[in-house]
Amino acid sequence: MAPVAIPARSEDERLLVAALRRGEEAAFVELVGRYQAPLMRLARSFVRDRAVAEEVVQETWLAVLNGIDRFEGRSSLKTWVFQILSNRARTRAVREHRSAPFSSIGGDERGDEPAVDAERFLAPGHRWGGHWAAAPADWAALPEERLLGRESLACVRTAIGGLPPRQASVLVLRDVEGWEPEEVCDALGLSPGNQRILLHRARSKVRAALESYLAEEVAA
Amino acid sequence: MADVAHVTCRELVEVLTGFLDGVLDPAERADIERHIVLCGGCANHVGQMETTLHLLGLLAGDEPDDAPGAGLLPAFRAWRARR
Amino acid sequence: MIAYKFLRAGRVGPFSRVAWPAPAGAEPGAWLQAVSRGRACDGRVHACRAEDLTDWFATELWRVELDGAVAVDCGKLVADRGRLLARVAAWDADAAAAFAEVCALRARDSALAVLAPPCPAATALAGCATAADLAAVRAPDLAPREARAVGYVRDGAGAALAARADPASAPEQAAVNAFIASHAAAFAAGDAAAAPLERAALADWLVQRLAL
Repeated sequence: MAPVAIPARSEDERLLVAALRRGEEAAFVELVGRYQAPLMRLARSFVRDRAVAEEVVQETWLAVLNGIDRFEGRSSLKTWVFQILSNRARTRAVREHRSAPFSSIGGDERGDEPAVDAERFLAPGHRWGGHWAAAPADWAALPEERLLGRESLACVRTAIGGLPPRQASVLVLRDVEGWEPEEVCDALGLSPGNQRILLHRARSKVRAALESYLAEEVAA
Repeated sequence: MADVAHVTCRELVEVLTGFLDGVLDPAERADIERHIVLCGGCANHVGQMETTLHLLGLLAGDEPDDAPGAGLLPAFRAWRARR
Repeated sequence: MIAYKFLRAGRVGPFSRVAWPAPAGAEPGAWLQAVSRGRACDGRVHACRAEDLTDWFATELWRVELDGAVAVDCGKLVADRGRLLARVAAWDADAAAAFAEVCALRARDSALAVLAPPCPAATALAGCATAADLAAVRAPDLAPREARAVGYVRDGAGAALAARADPASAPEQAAVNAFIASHAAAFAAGDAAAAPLERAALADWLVQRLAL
């Protein structure tokens, strides 16, 4: 089968796609070097089990190779690779939904989840209703090695592990990988509004987890 | 009614992602900024979120080097041989 | 056009976090081009008119020149580029604390319109000349509406005292108290439209005090 015309999204990707189609190993190594670690991080936001996530990533690469001749460039090569992963990881997660933290695939994302506990604010009848009753602390007052230390990173990682998959996947791509919102929408098949809601809930939970961790630190 | 329209802290924490993404309309954005000027609690909340984002960004470089990319080469060569 | 800009210590934009270039003697600072910095930034230069000053308090106040297309947008001036002309030295922690105290006293004036005579609390509040006086007034057994009006006064007095106790916080307390005074005015008038009028009166006070 003749490959479809190579899209000209970016010169860099055009060259990579052409080299892959020629079967050049260096191009594949380059692509794996770029995306293997991010793919693993995204896979693990859908499937908790490390070995299963590795399998999903492996399958993704095979699907990329088998599909490269048909790659049409409607997405960038990058988001196309991640689309493949997210579709496969979702299928896997549904199949294995016995695993506790992911029992609700996309479930709890429609309910009303405040970013901050309602008790933290003054009641509506108060003259400053809706303003802080218990305001957040100034983290700039904490020593940087405490604030940005390994324990804080571990706390963030644990908090991500507890997120519903859709929230975790958006958070990983936006805030860990640093993607643009449009790219995340494309890779995960989300509307811009949903992308932002999922991101907001995810960020809010990670912040809250850090806040309680750091409050314990201060109290201890 | 005597209630002066203003952003509350409870509202601010719900639009923070939109604010940081720059997708609020100019009036809403200006209201949020005015609120942050006078509200130390919300200024701290925004600062906490910025630190959270900074920590999330650090995770990208912090993963142990266990991405099993090396095992992919045999699969690649098998794929190439089939072409 | 000439406008005003509140900056954090070190000429740093409160939201952009960009440091504006300093003037060298009588020479204006270098032009700050509008450049986008992060997603939250619209990539333009922001400043304000004298009448908007009470919305944007920060540690340093500068007279700035704006250039290119300048638009008034939601209580801000938005321009393509701007440069610092000179710092308004009269804006310091003392001025901020004095402003906060004026706001507390004006919130008291608003409360007096709510308190039904004869009311001992009204008499006591009317005799106050400072934020400390206001904070010392005891006003038990008020009706809810009166208690709310007096609550604004108490909040304002507290912020004004905090501004004196912690000069670094004075700009924030000034912002808090402009907010409180405008809410107190609207509450007393039973009309939200009283809030911007109160803001305008406070801006006038500031323009006089700083000789702008």
